[in-house]
Amino acid sequence: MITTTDYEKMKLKELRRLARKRGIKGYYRMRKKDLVEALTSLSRVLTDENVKKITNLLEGNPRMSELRKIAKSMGLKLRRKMKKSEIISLIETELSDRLRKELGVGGRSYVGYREELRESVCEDIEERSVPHSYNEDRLKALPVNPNWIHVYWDFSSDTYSKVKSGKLKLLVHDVTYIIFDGKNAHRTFEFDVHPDMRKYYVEVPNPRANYIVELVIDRDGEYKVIMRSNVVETPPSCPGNLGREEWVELKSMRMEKMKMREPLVKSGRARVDSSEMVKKDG
Amino acid sequence: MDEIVGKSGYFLLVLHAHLPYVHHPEREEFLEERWFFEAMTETYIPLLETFEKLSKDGVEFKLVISFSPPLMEMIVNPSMQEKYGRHLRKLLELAEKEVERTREEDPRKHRMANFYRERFERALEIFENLDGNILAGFIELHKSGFLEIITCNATHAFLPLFREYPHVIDLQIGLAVEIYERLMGFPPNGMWIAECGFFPDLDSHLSKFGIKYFFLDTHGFTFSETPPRYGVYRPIMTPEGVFAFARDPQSSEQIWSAEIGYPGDFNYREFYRDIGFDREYDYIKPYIDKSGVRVNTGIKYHRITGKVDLSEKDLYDLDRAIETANNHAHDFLIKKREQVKYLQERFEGEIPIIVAPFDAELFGHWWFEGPWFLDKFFRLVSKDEILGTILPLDFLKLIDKVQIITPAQSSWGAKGFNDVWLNGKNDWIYPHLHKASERIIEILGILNRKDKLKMRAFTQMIREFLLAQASDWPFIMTTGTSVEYAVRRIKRHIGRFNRIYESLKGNGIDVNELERYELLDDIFSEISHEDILRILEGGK
Repeated sequence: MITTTDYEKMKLKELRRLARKRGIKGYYRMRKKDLVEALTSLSRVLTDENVKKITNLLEGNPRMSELRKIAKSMGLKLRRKMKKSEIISLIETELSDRLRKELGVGGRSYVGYREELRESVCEDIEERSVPHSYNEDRLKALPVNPNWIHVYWDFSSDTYSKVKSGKLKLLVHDVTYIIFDGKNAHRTFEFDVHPDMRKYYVEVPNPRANYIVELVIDRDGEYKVIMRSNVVETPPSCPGNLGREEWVELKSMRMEKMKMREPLVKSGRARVDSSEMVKKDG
Repeated sequence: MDEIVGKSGYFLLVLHAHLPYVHHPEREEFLEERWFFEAMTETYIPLLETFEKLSKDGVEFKLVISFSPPLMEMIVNPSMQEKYGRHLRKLLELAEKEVERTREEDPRKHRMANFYRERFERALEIFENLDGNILAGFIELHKSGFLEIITCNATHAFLPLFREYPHVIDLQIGLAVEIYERLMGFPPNGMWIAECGFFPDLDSHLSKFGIKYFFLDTHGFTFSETPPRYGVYRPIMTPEGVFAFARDPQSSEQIWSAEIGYPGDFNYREFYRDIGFDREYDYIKPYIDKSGVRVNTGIKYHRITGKVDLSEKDLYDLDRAIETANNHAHDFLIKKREQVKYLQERFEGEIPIIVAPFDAELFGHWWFEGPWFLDKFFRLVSKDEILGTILPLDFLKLIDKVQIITPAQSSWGAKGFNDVWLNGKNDWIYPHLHKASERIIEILGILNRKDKLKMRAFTQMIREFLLAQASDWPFIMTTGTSVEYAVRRIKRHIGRFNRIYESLKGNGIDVNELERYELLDDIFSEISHEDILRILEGGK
């Protein structure tokens, strides 16, 4: 929603262009102050909230007095003896018209608003069921690519009250080829985090490696572990070197092992990816 | 099989056809349903037409095509068919108006208007001859052995980010197999793993549900612990006994790349100049979105022309475009022949296979001339002595030994890993999706299997979960178009999932609400709770 101050910041030329687009009569004669006022008053009627409010009223069973009030606020002239349905239709047409002028063809139409409204009641309930927190302790790590991992966490309210004012750190342990007992990591990296960040991206040194992340509270250099993550495996970024080859004969399913030989052909990574050409505009 | 023995190498085209489930039964028209309509008119029907013509002309051609379960569902859904039929008839009406209108305009435009009218008429004819179910046409071609239809994990979830939840992986793979069987009448041989997203051990899930082969990006092979001796030019077998084929980077670049690939040729049709935007508002209004938003109609009169502003695009010349597509098919054949010869030499006589997977929608939708290119290419290959086309399992019959390899974590997305589906723009979805994954197990533990209403609610809960899992939503958030829709979809499905979860945990299932969800999110309606339970509790 554009406010008066937004308009005030615009140049006269821009305001004129906007005014023309929105069908304000005699815009070319107006001074900046008048243009700002005209545009603001137009927007005032057409805020999302207003359109929804009017739509809501029309959808219900509006009283005649309410209808007249809306019509008046929109500057519509009503004939005397007009029927309810006629006034509603008049308001709807005007609303559609103005929306088109206001938003250009790229905007949502009045019909769009109305259909959305019918669903919005149910949607509100559904969206409220996508909580900010699940009220439980959780620390998860996911691989992004050979050198980055993603970590996210959540707290139970108990834990949260304990940690919210403390000094929190993420410890990222390199646990490749070992069973981690809390102390035996090859190396550990530390990052200061705030409990409310809820997520973090960590650059890690090794592809093809295993990491475990811990969330700890730092009490004067003494770390108390609050949560520990799953093991996360970073993908490789180059060919491996296991040292042996295994083959299977398809008819007999007989296995054969041998020392690793050089590949007969080198093929690097494809330089194009699935998003390059296709689905450019969704 | 005699005729195929003796070729020096093979080319395997893999088309992956997929769209997210965008069926909105509650509305007569819905903007995002146009994604499906456009793909039908521009890709699926033209491809079907191309392949049918090749088969009628006696051309020997082979390819693999995967239909994702959401796409299959949309294709066979009667309400979607009705909506598409209506859309196509309206498009035809617009094309007729264009024929009249362009009489006064440039003759090249008029010619194209006639071309579009005929094209849409033919599309409608194909569509109606198959009673609206174009999948039936593809199944015919599958049965006659020209193409092999495979499936894709159930709702195109990007599986590496669900690695911690084996039951979710099972659900994605097991359900896909189940749905394929129901629609096709036999089980699938192969599976396209969404975005080629692989992690070690995924193969054990594939093998559990009888999948014989799948596809990977190049580095899924080459970055493995033992880089394969034949590179990406021979299939490998995973430790779980599933075969994998990997993408040839060269073919991808030649066809796919927006910069150097064929589709960027100046003679080809310009995607972004459409009469949906070019014609005056009042004229075009009945043919764009109901809300008044201008959208693509599919009638386009311009060619790419060069690196010029959209307003300076030259008019499309049909003859030149066809000629260009033919030339590109020739060029591609020569390149593939050379590649095969080179590979065979290096392989000491062993036969190479060049695997070229693409999104099916590239052909026709993005690259308008793509189906003509394929038509010409297949005609040329069928007469070639060196190069042939072949289906995956038939290729395996030609070779004695395969290397056993554990493929590397990889995907075919930008940068080759998980970046596209996990970054600052979309990472907020995973806490919800993971929590939901755990809640499924929780509900399984307390579910009274005899309570019919609860089982119904549970089934719908799984549907909501699957719909939320589609890789399309995080993809859209990353690329930045239609983001609002993607966010709304995820929130809706997660919200509905959580509502049902709460009701199953408590005692109150609101039947009206449940019915509403069943109506709005009607994917996989033929799947029963028995199927789901069987898959979740120990697989097949």
